[in-house]
Amino acid sequence: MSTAVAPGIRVQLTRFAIGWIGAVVLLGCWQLATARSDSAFFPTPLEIVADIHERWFSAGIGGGVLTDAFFQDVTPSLQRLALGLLVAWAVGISLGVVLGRVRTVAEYLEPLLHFMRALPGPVLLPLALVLVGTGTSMRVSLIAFGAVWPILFNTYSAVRQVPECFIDNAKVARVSRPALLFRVILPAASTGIFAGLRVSTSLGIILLIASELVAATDGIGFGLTQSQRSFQFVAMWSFIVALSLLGYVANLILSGVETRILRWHRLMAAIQD
Amino acid sequence: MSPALLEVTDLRHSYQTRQGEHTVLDGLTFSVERGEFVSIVGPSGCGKTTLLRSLSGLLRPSGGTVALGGTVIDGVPQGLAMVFQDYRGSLFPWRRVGENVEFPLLGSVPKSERRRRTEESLEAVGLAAAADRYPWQLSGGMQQRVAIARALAMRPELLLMDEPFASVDAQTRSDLEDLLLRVREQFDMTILFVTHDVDESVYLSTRVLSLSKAPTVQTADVTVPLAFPRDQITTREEGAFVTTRSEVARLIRQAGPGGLAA
Amino acid sequence: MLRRGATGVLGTLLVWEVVARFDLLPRDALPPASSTIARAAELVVDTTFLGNVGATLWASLVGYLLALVVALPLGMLLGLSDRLYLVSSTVIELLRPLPPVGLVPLLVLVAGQGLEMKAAVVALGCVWPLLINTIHGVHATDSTARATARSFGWSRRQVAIRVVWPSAIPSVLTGVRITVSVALILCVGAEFIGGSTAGLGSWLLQQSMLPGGIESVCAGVVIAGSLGLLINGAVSALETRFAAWARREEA
Repeated sequence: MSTAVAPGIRVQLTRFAIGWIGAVVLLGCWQLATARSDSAFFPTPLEIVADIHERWFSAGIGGGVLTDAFFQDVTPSLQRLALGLLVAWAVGISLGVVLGRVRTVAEYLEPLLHFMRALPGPVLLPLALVLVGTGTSMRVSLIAFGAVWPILFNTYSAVRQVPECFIDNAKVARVSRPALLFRVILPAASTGIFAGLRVSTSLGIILLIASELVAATDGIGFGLTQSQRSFQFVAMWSFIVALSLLGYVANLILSGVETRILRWHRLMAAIQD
Repeated sequence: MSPALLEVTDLRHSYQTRQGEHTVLDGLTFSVERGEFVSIVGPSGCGKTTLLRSLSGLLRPSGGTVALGGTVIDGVPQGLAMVFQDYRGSLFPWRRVGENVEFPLLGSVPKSERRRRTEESLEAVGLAAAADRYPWQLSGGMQQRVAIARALAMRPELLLMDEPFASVDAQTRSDLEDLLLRVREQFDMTILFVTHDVDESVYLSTRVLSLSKAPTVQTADVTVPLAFPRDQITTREEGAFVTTRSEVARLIRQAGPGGLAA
Repeated sequence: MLRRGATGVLGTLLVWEVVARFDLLPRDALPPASSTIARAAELVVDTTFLGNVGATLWASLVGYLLALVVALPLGMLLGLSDRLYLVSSTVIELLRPLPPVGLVPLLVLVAGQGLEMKAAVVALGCVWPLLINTIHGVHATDSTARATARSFGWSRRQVAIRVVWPSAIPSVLTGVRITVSVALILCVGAEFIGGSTAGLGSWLLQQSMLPGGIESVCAGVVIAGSLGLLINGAVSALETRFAAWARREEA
């Protein structure tokens, strides 16, 4: 039996510090390089931070911190992404479980699943435009329809690979059907499902930005292209940073949940290395 | 007279394959009384897995009946626990040892009682200290003890065991055999034990059944005239042990050309 | 199994056909399966269409190669040097989750709307998983093997090429499998967002604005999916080959 040797707290702190020093040095270089350059395309990080503050976080008394522009630029995108991904995850995970457990149905549908997973999501945009129109529902359904396939496929194959003996053991213990699903099948398939969540999230962000280009009046994707076309390069950078933060936060949330739920898996993998 | 705990009557099972019907079980009839320790030995491919799956209600046999406590089963019956050969596939790697033992009680037993039974079962297999570890942090023998503890927590009338000690080393194996005999006393269980190993079957059991190769029929029913408690050294030296062992081995050899796998 | 799969595909096509023929959905929103397939058959020999598909594939390939050229040596370097890894790990963790499509407007300014911009987006999206898998692969190298090789009197460079790199290959291949399908997605996405004039994405968008263009759009989507299937198939074939080789190496 082996036990993972955890590095001491001091070593960890030093690593953490060195890592952040690396990041700060890089940021400093960016500042210096952009300050010396006279390209309008590349404002300095300080200018960008100032613009972000003024644009989204400088509302006066009574209005809180967030400006009206924040609710115009950021909130709609957040809503579209969250709604689209939630629909994709709910549909993808439930259908994936059903297909993973009902072999016959899966055998009929497998080629289609492979096809839909292989389809590069963004090609659906023109189709969505024609089918659903240009409202918020188009953007949400594009995200949902595009992002559902990786999660559906991953859940399906993860559930199919759940060892039959896990299920036999649970059945002999006479657990109820919901308990079999929530306490055995889903935990056993959880690593595969999480991989699917990650892929579908990055795909969802691409689809969000693509969908906000067409007939949109708000959202990060709209602001991004609008500022570029009107040569407001500092504003464009603010939107780039906003989108990056969106990606970063989405990743952080997923990692946080994953760390909690898959703690056992991480420890187990560490031992088997 | 009260019915036997387990009554198997003319149990048959066959699979459909490309080559046609493949008969695995061809009319098995036997019964197990309360308090018995019955071992089933047979060559590989004798349909032991199919038999155990039918007894536990995981598989609906093509013909015949299985009755537990006088009631013909349809699906997994109450009062039954099973320990599988593959301990890695039996314990859930995402649940700690204690949580694994508690698992079959969820939803049917109140929390305080669950905790009490978990502690008691882990105590019985000598793993009370390991409750908060994960199964994959334990050795194979310890994992199989956790699987036994989980079965004990269910307080089964009948414990089915499918070659439970086949994947552990020899020393661990004798330890586990003695542990099993101890908890059988303590928890007053009836055990049906499937094994490849004639020695093991005689050492553990009150009665040994032998099976032929598929299509499987029963070939022998030998009562083991040995007293409890048994001892790994002295019991195996007894004349009765040696003669019973030889008798069983001979019956199996007569039963078919396949003989016993190692 | 195969027969059921084929039945499934035929069944779907049949439902699609019936839904379209009996106008259960508006005709201009969903053309029948038969006419979509007929249109797709025309498209696969249509030089304009093929040119656009070629532009997308070429940009994806260029971007992907770019990512490989950056990620593999850099991954080796960071994997071998603990100091460099320490300094850069936080930067990598911060840059990795950034959505590459966000940089499209900037890249359009710097590199235009064509090949360079698309390739850059593909490279930015694919470089991180490749880099991280290479570092993991190098870290997983048996330190005994490394020490043994050093005792032969080999230079650091020789050890890196002869010992570390071969044992990192399986992990690198995992990175390749993850990123290959992403390349096409990013490329088409970049075509929409960057307003490219050539490429599968641009062609689809143009067709969708033409009256009656929906048939071409559907046919294009079907072809895009088939293309994705081909690429996925090629990658798993490649992986089977190389994985067998990697296993032999381990044995």
